Amino acid sequence: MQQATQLKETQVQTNQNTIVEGVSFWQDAWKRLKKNKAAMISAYCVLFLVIVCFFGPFILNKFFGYDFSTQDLAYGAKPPTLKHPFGTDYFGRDLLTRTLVGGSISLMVGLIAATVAAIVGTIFGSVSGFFGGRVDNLMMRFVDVLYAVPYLFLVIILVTVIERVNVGSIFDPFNTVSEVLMGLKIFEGRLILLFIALGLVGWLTTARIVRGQVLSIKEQEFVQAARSIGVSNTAIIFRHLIPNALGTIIVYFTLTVPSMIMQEAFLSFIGLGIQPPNPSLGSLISDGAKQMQLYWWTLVFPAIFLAILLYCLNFVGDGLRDALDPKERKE
Amino acid sequence: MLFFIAKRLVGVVITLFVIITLSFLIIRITPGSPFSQERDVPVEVLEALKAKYGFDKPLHKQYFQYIGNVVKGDLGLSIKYSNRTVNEIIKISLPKTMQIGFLALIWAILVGFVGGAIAAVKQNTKWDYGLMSIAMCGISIPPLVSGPLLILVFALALPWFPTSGWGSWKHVVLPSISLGSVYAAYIARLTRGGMLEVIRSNYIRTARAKGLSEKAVVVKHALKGGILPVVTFLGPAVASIMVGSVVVEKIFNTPGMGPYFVDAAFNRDYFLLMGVVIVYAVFLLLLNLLVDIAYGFIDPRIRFE
Repeated sequence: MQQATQLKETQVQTNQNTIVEGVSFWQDAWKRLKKNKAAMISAYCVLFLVIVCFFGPFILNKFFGYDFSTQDLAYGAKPPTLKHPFGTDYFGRDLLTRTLVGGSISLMVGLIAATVAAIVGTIFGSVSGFFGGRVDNLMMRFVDVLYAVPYLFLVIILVTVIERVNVGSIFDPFNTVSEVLMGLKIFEGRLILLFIALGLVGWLTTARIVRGQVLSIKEQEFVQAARSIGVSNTAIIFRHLIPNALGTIIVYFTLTVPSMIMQEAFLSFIGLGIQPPNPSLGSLISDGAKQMQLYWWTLVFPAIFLAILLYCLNFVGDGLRDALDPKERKE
Repeated sequence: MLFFIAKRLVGVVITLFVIITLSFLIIRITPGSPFSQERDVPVEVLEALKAKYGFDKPLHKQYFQYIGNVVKGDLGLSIKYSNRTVNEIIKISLPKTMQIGFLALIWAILVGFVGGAIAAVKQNTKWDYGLMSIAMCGISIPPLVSGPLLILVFALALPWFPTSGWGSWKHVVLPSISLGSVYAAYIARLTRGGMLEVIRSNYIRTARAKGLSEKAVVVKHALKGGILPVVTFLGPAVASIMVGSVVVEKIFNTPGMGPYFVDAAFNRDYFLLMGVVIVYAVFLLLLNLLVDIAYGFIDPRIRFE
């Protein structure tokens, strides 16, 4: 950041009558982001979707008594009506409620898995880049090998292994919150581990990118200065290298979120993710695809919802890349 | 050049060996067994089964035996589909996966390249914005979403194509559209980015200055800039198309390699799972090598090291 700030300061056109304040890298990026209309609109859409997904089920439950799991077999599957704008599924459950709960689970998966991926990738990449030489070579070969193993294989194996791990009560506070809002403990057993498994497989690209960044940052004067006054390696990595690569890390984090949501959807589709009656967008689409000949709406609404969610998230990620990574910026 | 290829081939073999070893260890060390599904199997039967597949020997012996067999090209016996060798299963299912995959890739390259080139030439016009929005849609609609929707529209509502199965050319159309759309979108964005980078460079200005027509400038000079990033993307893309085909094959009930992969991982069908992982890895590694070789031909500035 330091060096980016300096650059910016020299570039700011000085006007004799006004006092020009230095524009920090983040202020500059924020200005660029605000100018990008598509990204800003998508950011508001994402915000809207997040609020609707997390609070919608609560409101629907309060005012209409809808619930994502209570079955009403006598009512059965009905096409969209005013009462149920998305229709109901085979078990007579309101599909709007289920889609929103599914959306919130998918969002949680995306956020947690992407966070895990960002942390692992950042640490791996910066250590590899910082030490360089043989360590770097070995660590990057490891990444290459993992790249060549289909991630699906790793995820399936990881999921079946960590199913046996007990996380205990660390996530209890979060569970209380999610139970009040959605009537569902999001952070229970298998689900939270699935998030982590996805993250543990998805860090490879972040590691490569961060390594590249670190390789160029570590040659700069301020790092040499830090080293000359005896700052430890760990401190250099965490205080100097990672903060300076933060822009790139954030960009890849936002781009990982939609891809993690997609992968969770896929895992739920093949029956490895969410267990019924809990919905995720993937399991809803999977159920809908099985019944689409009879009940088209059970497929169409969750599928379009997922597509819109991914579309907005991707646009935000793109906008952030343009704002935070001026080198990558398109004209 | 030949030395470069030979050196890289050695690297491929070493990486493959590491992958096989790693996968073997991961599959064997993690809990779960291929036989745990069958209930109430007498102990003697279980022992006999284990002996049949060599699981009664110590792990390192099994490993060396397996490596020996793989070198000879024998991937072992499937456990779930008993009496069928892994080679047989792959021989029958791989061509189907490849048909869908290559068709998807071909249309993705054609559509993506043309779309990206148009967007780059008409930068910041309606064409550019329109095409890039379509590309963003393509990226945001995974096969998981597009597959069932395509069936709903083009197989159920309009009975143009069969919903699932295998046999005629019609069975391949919807799966490859569904699989290729994401890649078409990526290729369009990469082409546009690559072309925009060169379109402002001096040699393009020179070409214009010496009076070359706009068409010739684009076709002869600017397009080259768009090819390089796409070629880089193709290596990993082909591999991920192979994995992506798992979803598509599940949705369209195609008897390709995908369903076997998922089944084998669920059932711990050790040899079948290993076989599929090896096939995927070989594809990825060889294609990356091919991409590196192609690089040198497209862009002479990149020398073979």
